[in-house]
This record gives sequence, structure tokens and C-alpha cells, in this order.
Amino acid sequence: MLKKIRTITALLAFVIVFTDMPVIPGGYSLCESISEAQDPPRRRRGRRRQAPPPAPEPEPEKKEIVAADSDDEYLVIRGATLHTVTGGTHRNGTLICKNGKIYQIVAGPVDGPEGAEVVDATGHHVYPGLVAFRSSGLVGSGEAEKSQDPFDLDTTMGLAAGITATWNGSRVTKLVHGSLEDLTIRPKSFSSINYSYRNPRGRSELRRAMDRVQEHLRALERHAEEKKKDPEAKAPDDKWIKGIYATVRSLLTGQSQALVRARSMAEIREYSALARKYGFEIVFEGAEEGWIDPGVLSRTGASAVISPRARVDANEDLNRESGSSIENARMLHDAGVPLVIIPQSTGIALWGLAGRDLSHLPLEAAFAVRGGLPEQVAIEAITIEPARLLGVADRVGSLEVGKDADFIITDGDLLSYMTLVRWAFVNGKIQYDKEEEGILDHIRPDGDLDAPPPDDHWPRRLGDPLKG
Amino acid sequence: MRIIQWTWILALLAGVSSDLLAGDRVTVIRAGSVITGTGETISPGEVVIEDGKITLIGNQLEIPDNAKIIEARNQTLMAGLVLSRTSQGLIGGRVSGVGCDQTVLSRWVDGEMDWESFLEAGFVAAAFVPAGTGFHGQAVIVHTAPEAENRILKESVYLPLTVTGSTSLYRTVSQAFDGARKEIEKVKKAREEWDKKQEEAKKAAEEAKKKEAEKGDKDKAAAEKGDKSKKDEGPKEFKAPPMNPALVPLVDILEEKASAMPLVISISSPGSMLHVDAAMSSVKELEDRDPPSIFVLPGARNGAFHEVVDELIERKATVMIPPGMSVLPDTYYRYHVPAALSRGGCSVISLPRADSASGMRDLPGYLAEQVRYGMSEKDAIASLTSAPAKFLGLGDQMGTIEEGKAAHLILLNGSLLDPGVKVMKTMISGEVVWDREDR
Repeated sequence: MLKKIRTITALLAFVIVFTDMPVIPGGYSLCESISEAQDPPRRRRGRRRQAPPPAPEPEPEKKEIVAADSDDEYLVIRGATLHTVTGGTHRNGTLICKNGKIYQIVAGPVDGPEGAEVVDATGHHVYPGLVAFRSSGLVGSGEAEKSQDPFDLDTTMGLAAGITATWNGSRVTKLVHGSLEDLTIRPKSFSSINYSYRNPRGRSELRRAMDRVQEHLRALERHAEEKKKDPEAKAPDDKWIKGIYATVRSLLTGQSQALVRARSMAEIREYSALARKYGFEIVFEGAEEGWIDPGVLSRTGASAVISPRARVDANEDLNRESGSSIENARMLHDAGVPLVIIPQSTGIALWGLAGRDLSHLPLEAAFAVRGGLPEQVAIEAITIEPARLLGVADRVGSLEVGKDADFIITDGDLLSYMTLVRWAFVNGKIQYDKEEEGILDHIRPDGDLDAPPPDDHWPRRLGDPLKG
Repeated sequence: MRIIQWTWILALLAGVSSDLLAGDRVTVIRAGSVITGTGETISPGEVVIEDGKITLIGNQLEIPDNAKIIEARNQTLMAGLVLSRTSQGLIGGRVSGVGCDQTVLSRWVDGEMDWESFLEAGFVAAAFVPAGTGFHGQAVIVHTAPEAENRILKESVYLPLTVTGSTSLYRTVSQAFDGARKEIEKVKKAREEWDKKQEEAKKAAEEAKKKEAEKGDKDKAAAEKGDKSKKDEGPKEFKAPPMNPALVPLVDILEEKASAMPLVISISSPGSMLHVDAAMSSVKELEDRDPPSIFVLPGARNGAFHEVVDELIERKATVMIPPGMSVLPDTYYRYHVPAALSRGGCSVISLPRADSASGMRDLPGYLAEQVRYGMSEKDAIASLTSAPAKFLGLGDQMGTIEEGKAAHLILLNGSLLDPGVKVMKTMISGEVVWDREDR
């Protein structure tokens, strides 16, 4: 039954894309360039979750390419496979950026405006820059413009891992090398609540606060009605709304979401029940046991931030399911839970190349694919989904006309274990070039799989790179 | 022997009284080689010192019979080293925030300072700053002789600004210059008030005069009296209200006074340089001025300072930096920032890697490594002698061996950059103040 519905959905999506097929200058059409519509399956969304803005279809014929004598800066990426994430994939497509924004996405090869910077990425893949839901050390804390070390190696390593934006706990910030401008996308904060059954007193206090604020909100509604009849009606007192009450109010009015770390199914059930009862949005971090009853999350409209490689041992004393599962991501997705994937360690380090930190964000997602998650969903879980959850999906997270020109060019499929980032662009500027940085340049230089190892492997460049 | 004979003959021929030449104030150093620091090496060479000053440099000079002679034919003579920034051996707490008036003068007990360690490492002068962060005082240059009569060479030399975190940097800079601006406004306001008062007093006086004129000549005597009292009130000098001394050097900077001290900014990460620029240009008076160009870089092995080398070169910056190899962690990158800066044309001043006796002692060895990576030998030696002397405004007194300069000299058992080289004697104003043989 499910399968049938999915086939129909896919068919429908295909038809929609097919009929809206743009005509591409130069005689190319979608029939020639292979364009796969990979509309994600419809999912249940949280009640207050805004529907993602409809992906603007590429309409190259409407825009004229202005001669390059203006001050506009153009950047053209040619020859690569464009993975737009939200609008299909175009083999041998062309990505044209103007002044740091995506200007056109063309499903075939076209000439860019004169004077544009052209990157020939034949044989490479273009993806939107990855969004790390949470990180430490990749960007400065707080207002990054005032705290970031723009020459920090961690920033470069984050870009080498394909990450172009991340949340530092208070703001969504871009990874930019050597500059302090245009870093912050926008502030974002989640509310943290504690409803752990290990803390019965906190639980009852939280419930009481929820009740009281809910009553207050109803009183506000009643007051609004009264005011229509009697303009001098007195507004309910709200001076007491401080501390936990303020947190609860921002939750109940939908101004913020709750971000809770819940590992066991019991905890997930507790929080979900609370969220459903009082009607607020909730995001689960961890959710290792979510696969046991994913319906709980989907009925709550919850999102999940998961680490597919996280292990939780099953409790053999229990006469029921427990512990982590490789299928967690797939089962949550099947239930319609929006998924965001991050590694267990949110730091980054070169010695973490073999580890489970942010230098391997795509591999974390690939591990979910190993457990059955569709590849497209896994890619979304490290691009558009974290962008949505962080409220910056209008700027980053997919290749769409009008969004920021933050993207990566890889030498293979993003989720392959061999793939490395060749270039990372932020705001339309190269921020990372594998061949220029001394981190990974010696591994398959220029994507050549058969390249012999460099003669000067160690101690390579033990001299002074400043000398040349 | 022949030289002395010749000297005598010459002296007699010239009719010069032998008393003049033979004064015991004359000291002659005979060294295996003399590195003058001006690009010349004389080997063997002699330097004649009179009244604590260098009067003659050369080879096979005429030397009076009873001059004091220091035989050092197997040693190298060069100008004494100058330490451009240190806080060794100070007492009291660290300064933080904005304290531009703080100096080390209230922070040491002269008799208890370990001057020997400076002399042993060859340092004849040192610029002391109080330890701390933010605007933590001003530098004072001193002689390092244990029993110096005039210890202080120069006061108010530069203002150190030590950056620890970028967020606190923005706070400190705005706090400092906002404060300075308020001080300027305070004086301006007081001046205006004073002017107003003067004006009022003038008016009042005129009115009084008018009245007197109406009264006629009757009360001439009284009028005279009034004149007298007016004279007493007469034009006083405007007395500016006292400024907060911690902010006065910053006021000088804002008002672009000639006496304004230069800012010497210590940064611990390369990105701080951009933050310093941003913080400084957020001060509206400093917005259009040249970006800061005097920096102290850390000697830490890790840190991507090669990223800002080009920028520093473009600014023709003066950089105080401990010599050493830098490493980009977990990569194969090895680079030598002092050498790169020096090659690029920056004025490089070497600092010890640790602000301690052993740090100072080890300094030449690390400096030699920079020579291996492309710093010229001349620049390496200058980074401890003429470059700091020039930066500290003592270029006419020390830093090189030239006629007329003070005889602050050191004798080494080899060239400064040879491995294992040691300071054998340190001289301040021609006096041997430290001698390895006495140890």
C-alpha cells in the first residue's frame, strides 16, 4: 500500500516537473540533459512549521545576461553535475552566480557573461554547502564578526569537509576564511527545557508553568475579544512572566522551538506527550531509540537531529526493544520525521579524519544510507533540513535562484567514502581550494585516482612555504 | 711595541700634551673582530673609548701608553643588545583594562632585580612594561648595569596594548577612546564656561564703568579703587581641569600630538590583526588614519601567522617577534615568520621566546635558525641591536659601534649567531659591568 502511494507521488512529481520544463537556450532541453526530479516524499510537518518556500524553477530565458561592463561580479561553474537538492539534478549543468547570489541554474552548458570568473568543473559535482546543525570551534562564539579567528585552521578544515554554514549556539554563521564580513546569517536560539523523569520536581514546575502561561494566553485571547466591544478593557497582567515562564511563553506562542537531548524511547515519549498536550514544537537531539516507536515523533510533529553512527547498547534486562539501530534514520524518515544528521563530536580536528567529528559530516549521512535511508534524504539531512530547522532555508541549504552562492564542488558523489571537496565557495568567493591548502592536497591530486604518491611525502614542505 | 713608539713620536710631533692622551679615562678594546653593525667587520680591530663614548674605531690604532687595554684578540666585539619589551622581575599585580599611566617604576625594587641575567645575555638596555592586558601602561627604558646611577634612559616610550580575546578587545578599545573623548570634552566645556565667565565679567565691569561715569567725577577716588579691584580680577590664565592620567596618552593619540606615544599591539592569533583594525576603525577619530603597524607576535609554535605576513609587509610594519619555527598543526607546513617578514622589508625586532633569564640566553641560537631560513645575518643582528634601538628612539646612542655613540658593548667568544656562543664581557658606558671570568 505504502509503496503504491510512493510510486504515485513520484510519478506525480515527475509529471509536475516535466510539464514545467523550462526551455534552455542553445537548444538544450531536459530530454537531452538528464534531469531527475527527486521531489522528497511528502511528510508530516509540525503544526506551526512553515512550509518550505516553493522552489523557483530555473527560468533562464527570462533573464538577460548583462554585459560585463557593469560592476556586477559573475561566477560561472561549468560542466559539473548540479545537485540542487530541492530542484532536481542536472548533468553538465551551468551555475551562474551574481554578486554572491545564485543568479541562474541552467540544465545544460551555456556561456556565461563576458568577464565572468569561470570555473571548469567538468567531471565534478556541485552541491549546496553543507550546514552543520551544531558545531564548536568552526566559527567564533556569539557574534562571529567580533570573535572569529578568520585564519583559524578549523574553519579551513570545516570548509574542506564541505561545511559552509553552522550554528554556534546563538547564531547561524558562515565559514569564511580571512575576512570578518558577511559572517552571520541570522541569530537563532532554541529553548531548552528539562522534563526528565529523573527530576520530578522540575517536571511538576514545568507543567505548572505551562498551565499558567496557557491560561494567560487564553486570557489574552479573551481580552482581544473584549476589546472589540469595550476598548477600555484591562489587559491581563504579564509582569510575572520571567525566567521559566518567559521560556514557556516563547514556546507556546511558537516563537521558539524546544531543543532537547533525548536518547531513550521513554524520554522521547515523555517530551512528546508534553509537546502534544501544550502544543509546542520540539526538536530531539540524539533520539537513538527513536526507531522503536517513530510514530510518537511524527504524531508530535517533532524533528530529529541524529547521529547514525551513535551506539547505545540494548538493555538485555528489558523484555522489549532497546538500544540503537542502524535503521533508525530510515525508520524515522518513513514515519515522516524531518531528519538532520550531525556526527557525535561537533568539533573538528585533523586527527579526526578517521573519527566521528565534523570532518566527516557526509560520511555520517552515508552511514544512514547504509541503514536504508534514501540517498536524497540523507543529502537533505545535511543541507536543506538543518537550514530549515535553523530558520535560514531562504539563504542556504540548496541551490536555488536567489539564494546565497554557498556551494561546494566535489570530485565525486557526496556520500562516497572517496569523495573530497575540491572547492568550497561562500558568498560567491572561493574559500577553500584543495590544491592550495596543505591539508588534503596530496590525496588524489586533481581527482586523479591513479596518481602516484608524491615523492616528497614526508617531510614534505618541511621548508618554508613563504619562500617561494 | 712599534705602535706605541709611533704614537709617542706622533704625539710629540703634534706637540700634543701627553696628559691629554694618557688620561686613564681612555679604554681600548682589542678584539679579534669588530662587528660595527653598519655593515662593516674589522678583524682584527680596535675600539677606543673615552668618557664612556666611542671615539675611534679601526685597525692598528695609536694607543696611549697608559690607556686601559682590554685584550680580546680571540673574541668578537659588537654593540650591546637591546631588549624592546620585558616585564621580568616585577612585583605587584597585573594591569588590566585601561591604565596607560602605569609604569614599572613603582613595580620593582632596584636592588633586587636580577640585572646579571640581562648582562649575561648581552642586554645593555631594556624597555620595561608592566605585565597585564589591555592598555597596561607605558614603556620605560633602563640601563641594565647593577649599579647604574642613571638607571632610566627614557620614559613614556610606547603604549603596549595586549589583546587576549577579540571580544574584550572591542570592549577595551571603545572604553579607552570613549573615555579619552570625554576627557577632551570635559576640558572643552570647562574652557567654554571660563570664556563665558570672562565675557560676563567684562560686561559687568563695563556696566560698572558706565555707572561710574554717570556719577561723574565726584567719586574719582572710588573709581580708581574700582579699577584696582578690576586689575586684581584681571585676565587669569585658563586652568584646564585635571584629566584622568590613565587616559592622557590616549588623548594625545586622538589629538594627534607630536608627543603621542606609538601603540605597540600584542596579538596572540593572526586573526586578531583584522579585529584590531576593525576595533580601531570603529573609533571615529581613528577611522581615517593608517592602520596600526607595530605588532608583537607570539613565539608560540602553532598559529597561522603566515596568513598575515603579506599584510604586515604591505604596512611596512615594525614587528617584535621571538624567533622560531612555526607549524600549522597536523599539517606538514613549517614556516619562519621572522625570516619572511625580514625578507619582505619589515623592521623585525627579536624578543626572547620566554621572558626570563634562560629565554634571553637562548635567543641568539633561535635567531641563527632564522638566518638559515633566509633572514640576512645583518638583519638578524640588527633585530637585537640597531632595530630596537632605533624603534625606542635611542638610535643615536646605541645599537651600532660608531664614533660618538655610547660604549655599550659586548664581547663574545665567536659571532653572535654561532652555535654555543657566549657573552664574555658586557660593557655599559665603557665600564665592564659583567665579566664571565669573574663568575
